[in-house]
Amino acid sequence: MIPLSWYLIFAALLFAIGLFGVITRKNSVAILMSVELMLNAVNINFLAFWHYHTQNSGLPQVNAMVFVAIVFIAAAAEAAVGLALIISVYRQRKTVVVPELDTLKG
Amino acid sequence: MTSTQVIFLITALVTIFSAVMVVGSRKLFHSALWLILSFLGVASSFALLEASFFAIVQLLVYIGAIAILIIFAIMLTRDIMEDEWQQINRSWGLVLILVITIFSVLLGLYSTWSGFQTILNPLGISGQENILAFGKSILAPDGFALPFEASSVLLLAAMIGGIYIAMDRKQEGDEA
Repeated sequence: MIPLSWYLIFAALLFAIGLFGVITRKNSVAILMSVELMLNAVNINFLAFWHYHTQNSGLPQVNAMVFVAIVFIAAAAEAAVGLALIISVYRQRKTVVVPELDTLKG
Repeated sequence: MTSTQVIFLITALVTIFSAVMVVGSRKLFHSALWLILSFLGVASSFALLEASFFAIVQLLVYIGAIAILIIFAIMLTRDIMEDEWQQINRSWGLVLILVITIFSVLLGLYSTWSGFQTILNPLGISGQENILAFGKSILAPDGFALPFEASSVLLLAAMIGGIYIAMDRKQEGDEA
């Protein structure tokens, strides 16, 4: 009973907010949090189209569900490695603020 | 307007508001707590889409594991960034324009598609047929067995990599 457009607009808004956070936030943990928001927006889109497709065909569809499961796995892996990197950088440099991590700057 | 629509609008507004607070909050710890609320909102919109399995997985994986990991990382690196500092770049105005452009391009593309206004009705499929089909397909060799196994290997590799990266090698050297 909910139009597909509402889900798509909702997901696009969430994605835009996450993108804004990824580009502008200075703290690396905050950047990771914004990435999680973007991944969630993608999952909403996938499941909305999954519902649309299932409704149109009348049969159980699995492709979108497999995609969402793999996005979940990738998100978990990304969070684990990202936070381990942040903790490792914090040990060596005593900072997690991205503008201060400029060793590679010429 | 039906009650489902009202429920969707409320969850969507709460989710969007908490996402804005995640990005805009000055205190990092508050950001993490708002993030949990927005994960909860996303889980309820999964439930509204009749993807009950993924609503539960969202609760377990995101709120149960990732949010806790993020809070741990904030606690471990806490007093580094003073909460009074400017939390975002100076060029945030430019980024805001970019993000609004991307959002409107997305909406423009969607609105040219004929199915955009489709009403999503409750699915006619009874019981847990969707989850059964999903479970069979990720283990079927002609289905998605290979991507599924590959992603489990990815998860294992990420776990080992995480442990290795976060290991304190200096202390280890002292002991040896």
